[in-house]
Amino acid sequence: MRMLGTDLKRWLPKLALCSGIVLLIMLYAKIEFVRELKYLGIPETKDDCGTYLCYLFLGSHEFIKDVYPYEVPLVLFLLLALFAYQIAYDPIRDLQKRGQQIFIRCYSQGIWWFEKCIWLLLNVLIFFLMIYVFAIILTGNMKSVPDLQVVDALFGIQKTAEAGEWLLYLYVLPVVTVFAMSCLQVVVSMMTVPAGGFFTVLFLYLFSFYQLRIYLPGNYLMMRRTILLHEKGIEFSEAFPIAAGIALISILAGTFYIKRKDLI
Amino acid sequence: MVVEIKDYTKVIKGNVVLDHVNYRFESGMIYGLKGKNGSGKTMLMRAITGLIHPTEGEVVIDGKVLGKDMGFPESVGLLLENPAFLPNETGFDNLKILAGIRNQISDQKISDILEEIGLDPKDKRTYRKYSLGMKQKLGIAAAIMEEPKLIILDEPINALDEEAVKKVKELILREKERGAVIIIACHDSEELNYLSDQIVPISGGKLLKQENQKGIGI
Repeated sequence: MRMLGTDLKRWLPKLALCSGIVLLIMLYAKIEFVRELKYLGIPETKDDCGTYLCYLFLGSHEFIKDVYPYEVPLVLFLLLALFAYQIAYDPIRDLQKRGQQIFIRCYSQGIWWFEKCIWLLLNVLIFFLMIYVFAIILTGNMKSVPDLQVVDALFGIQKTAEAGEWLLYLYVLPVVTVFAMSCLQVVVSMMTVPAGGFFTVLFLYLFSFYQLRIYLPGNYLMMRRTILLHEKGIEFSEAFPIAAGIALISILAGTFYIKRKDLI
Repeated sequence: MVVEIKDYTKVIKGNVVLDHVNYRFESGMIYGLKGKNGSGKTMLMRAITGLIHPTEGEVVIDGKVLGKDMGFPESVGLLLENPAFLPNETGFDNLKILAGIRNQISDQKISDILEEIGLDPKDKRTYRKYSLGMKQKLGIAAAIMEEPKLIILDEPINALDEEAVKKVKELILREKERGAVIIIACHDSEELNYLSDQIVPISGGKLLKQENQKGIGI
């Protein structure tokens, strides 16, 4: 686990730059959010953390010819692309020349990969923690469950759900999904080139914006594609096992691959 | 420590880079791999460290099979071709990061080894600004700082001036006295003959008949 500490220590300086960019993106989203609230005549007191996050992770409508054009939800896409970019190179660098020194000190390839998976998980958690903290700072209201009246007025609620269910879609599913996509990204990068994994997940996200399909995990990150805001939307009970499965399969594939990889 | 290579063959993209290699390396000895470019010296070193996996055969270290009983040798220092470190860290910080993985040595030990090899541990220049010789010295320091039982050095005196070569030779001989198994590849036949207790000729991925055997001291 010492390598993990070393990796995190080296990653922390990057966090400052990353957090600055995230804050700028979220500030832009906040301005847009307040403008929409004003447009609908909703008082600013309804501007809370949960509702704002719901707006942030709203996503886009799926493409339906003559009804909804193909649309990339800019704010969400920028956040996802930023995260994918910041993890794109770090684990893979160990497989290149310098990695020989790292590997031989890790006792086995399996230990190296296990620590990289933990590193990815911590990266995802820190990234989302950053988003949640900025959401609280920007709204000045810690209420974590969205205001259902506001959400209904803004986006149209399709399913009556308990507060706990909203929390699952808003706080748990995005973390699990992004972790799964990160594992997939790193495995693809290991098997191809560092940019290979990055562009693969970007493509998957862009394809998810196009279609509402259970097998496209990008859909799990958009509130508008969930059963809460879409009558044929994705349910947590369907999405969670698939996201967890993608993470597990990626981790196992990485283990299998790295144990057989020649470092030349 | 005993490192045994048993009928080791490695095929990469249809090319046989190591061909039924058999050898036994023992503690307190320096083995000099001698061969032309592409003869298989570096591949043999990679095989011994577990960085490549055999197509056939195995590497056994103290009775444990590499890749089965362990991923990498439990105590190994390595310098392969051109060393690579983090470009934006100082030499000391680079070694500290590497040493932090196993946490076996102190900062003082890192400083000591840097001084011994002719680098200033307080030098604030980043690795990016190091000369070729300094990079090489740092690579050697990384390989021996944790006092490993197995030391593998590929072209350790590349890009070094006369004085630095002398220091490196002294360090290698000191590691031998400590009881490490040392395997060196070097283009300079004179230096290789001087350092090695046994010369191991290699050509086309095959070990040739041993040329000579000698005992040496400083």
